[in-house]
Amino acid sequence: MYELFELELIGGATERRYRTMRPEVEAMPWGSLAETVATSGFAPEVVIAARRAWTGAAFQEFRTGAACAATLQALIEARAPLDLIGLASRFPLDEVVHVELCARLAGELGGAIEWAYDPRKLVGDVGAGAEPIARAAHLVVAFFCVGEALSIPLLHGTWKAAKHPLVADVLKCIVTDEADHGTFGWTFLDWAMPHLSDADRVALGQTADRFIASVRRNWVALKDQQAAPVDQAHALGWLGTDDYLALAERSLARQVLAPLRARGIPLSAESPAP
Amino acid sequence: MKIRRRALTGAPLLIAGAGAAVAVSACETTTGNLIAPPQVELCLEVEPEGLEFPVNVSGTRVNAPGCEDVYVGEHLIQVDVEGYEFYEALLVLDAPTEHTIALTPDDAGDTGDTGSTDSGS
Repeated sequence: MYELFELELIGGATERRYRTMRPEVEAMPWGSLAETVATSGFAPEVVIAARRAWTGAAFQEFRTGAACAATLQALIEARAPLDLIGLASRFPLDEVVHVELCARLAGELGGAIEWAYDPRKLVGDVGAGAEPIARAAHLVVAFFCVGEALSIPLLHGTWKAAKHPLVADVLKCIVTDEADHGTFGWTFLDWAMPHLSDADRVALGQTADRFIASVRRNWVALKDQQAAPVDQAHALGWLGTDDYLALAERSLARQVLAPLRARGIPLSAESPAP
Repeated sequence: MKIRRRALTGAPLLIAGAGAAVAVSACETTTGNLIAPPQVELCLEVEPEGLEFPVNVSGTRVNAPGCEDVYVGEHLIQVDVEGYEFYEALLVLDAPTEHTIALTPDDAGDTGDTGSTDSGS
């Protein structure tokens, strides 16, 4: 059964405690994007596109929160080094904060679009059946070494292109958090590699290939298709298609493929050498 | 496809605007994507020929017959023209698409079928 992606806060003392964990959220200039949209005369379809983009971003961060929580459980089951587990225990909170930031931006633009999803498929079956360390490695490769490592430079590029102060503040916050998430993946792999067999490495390569292929399918769909005018896109918080795809290809080669191969994880021919 | 909407009891944080746009996540992609989604051309033809009327495409008004660039994904097409039955169709667009809106005159009788679901192909 699909569910509509909508979110709420319980409020009161619970929200106050939550706010103390990340006080920078409330310090952002909330309300300013709504004012810009109301006075700047953006075309309705551009605003709808921005609502779609930020609703999608909120959902992706929401999924990443689930992925971080699943990875955290796998790290504990794998008896990974305690400081590494401790570092990873902060990630779900980071992602929850990112969900809120993206959701509030969508709200400033007029609200979410109707985004349906299957809650049973948020994380999937990554590493199912593998031994604890190998299973944790599959999750880390999928969500951190590919997912987070790739999103960091793309988010950074989007942040640099963002023209609106609120959008820039939100992206800066997300980029700053995600930097830790990206380095975590490689630190874990460097610890785990001596515990993994050659067969484990081949299987990890297959997991990486699967997730890289998923990302590439998105890029193929984006190529040769028109998006909103770049100036308006930058104002509302995303990169133009050409900029995005060029940065994405460079980031994949440098931030994902090269480090995976350097650690002896075999990748398919469809994942070309940088 | 049924979509469940749970009543929110706390302070709303993210609320979907009805009819603004619809997306269905296959939960396949792994990264955030702060980029405008791709667009495809949707060309609307009309029957009977010669009619011209406004069409509501996922909350945006466009003219039919005619072509518009719309974002990929699901789009709800709605037409409410005096003298004709209300028309509604759900299109799933991932490529340039031609769709014919065939209106039925009111006096043709109420069949109870006011819409259709179209794959968009």
